Amino acid sequence: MEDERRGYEDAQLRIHCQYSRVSEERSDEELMASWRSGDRQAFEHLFRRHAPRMRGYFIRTGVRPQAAGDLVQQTFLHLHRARADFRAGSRLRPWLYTIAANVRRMHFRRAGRKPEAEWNPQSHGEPSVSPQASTPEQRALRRALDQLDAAQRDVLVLHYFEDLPFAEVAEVLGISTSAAKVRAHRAYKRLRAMLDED
Amino acid sequence: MPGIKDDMLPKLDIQPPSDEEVQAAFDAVLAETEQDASSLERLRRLPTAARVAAAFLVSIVIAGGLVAMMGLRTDLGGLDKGPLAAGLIGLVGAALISTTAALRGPHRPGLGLRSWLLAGALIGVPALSPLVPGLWDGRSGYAGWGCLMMGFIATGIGAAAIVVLSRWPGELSRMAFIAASGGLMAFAAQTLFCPCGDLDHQLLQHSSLALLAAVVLIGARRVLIR
Repeated sequence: MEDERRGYEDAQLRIHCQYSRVSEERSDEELMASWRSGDRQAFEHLFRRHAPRMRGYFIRTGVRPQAAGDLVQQTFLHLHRARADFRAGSRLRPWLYTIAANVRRMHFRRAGRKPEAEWNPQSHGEPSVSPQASTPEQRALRRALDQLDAAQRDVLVLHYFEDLPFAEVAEVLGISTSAAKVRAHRAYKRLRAMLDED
Repeated sequence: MPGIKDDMLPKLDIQPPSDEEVQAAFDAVLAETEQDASSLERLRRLPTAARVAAAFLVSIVIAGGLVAMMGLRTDLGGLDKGPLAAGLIGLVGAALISTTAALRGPHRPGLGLRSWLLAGALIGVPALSPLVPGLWDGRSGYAGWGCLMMGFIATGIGAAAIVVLSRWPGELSRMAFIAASGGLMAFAAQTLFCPCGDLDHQLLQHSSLALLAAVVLIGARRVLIR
């Protein structure tokens, strides 16, 4: 019984390693092209690569962790529906984050509320965000982020946490690259000032 | 902008979901994509250009069919064709722009203020166009209920075609574009059918259909948000 279990775990590990290798070797755009031509596994690779990060994006922009998982699924359902519009030469990440930003906006509209200004994970009992493990620096950053206005926070989250270059941040938000840089500059400046005060 | 990204800022401590959670989420997405393969869903998965063409074609066929069925207005021979043709081309062009804007997928960023200005222009400018002297000249006299019925049918079917093909119909500005598209095509059809040059009739029964459709759609948005 024990051997059987170990054998199963080894097989799982082999599949995981194989998956990781394939996934790491191929770019988002290559996977998207494969998926468009019917390769379902390419969709799985894309999901595994982006879903965890996407969940973080939702949480950082004011969505509660319980709802964030649903929004990640909605984002990928929309991606699935829109995949025929993906053009060769386009970058996937701005596409994905644009869908996510629209899904998030609709989520707040449907719920009839704005992103929570003062979201305290401890008081909301969120197990996947562990305030006990966070440093005072990190808690100060969360408070400061909450105090930024939505436009500045959107730019900062996409640029700093999601590592999108300014051109892609601009694409996601439907603004010019220079406007994205200006907003980011102001957001970083304000954030630093708030963190210095703490 | 080198140096703007300050790596001294700490990362937030959001723990990534476990492999099992990711797998469960993927299975749920996959199940949904495979289960929901209805004809409507397949239509919504068409490329945007194809969806725009299909919705516009439905609108044109309905508007044209209604005019063919109910007949062209009888005073066309005595009218100055220049302003009429220019006005009709403008209406159809504006309807095409509205259809395209209404069918933008969620992979395109919102247009923000520009979106509202454009939607307002597409609804408001035609609504006020009967006030432009000489643009919609005609005989005086009332064309009867047929004119209004034609407007309702063309607006309703044109807007419904877009809703059916839309991947993202619940957003307010997109609803305004859906209404504008239906109303503009209906206005064009009515202009070809109805000889009435009465300003009140033009304002109330022709050019305000897009506005009326916008009110109805926005009122029904809870149903459209999916």
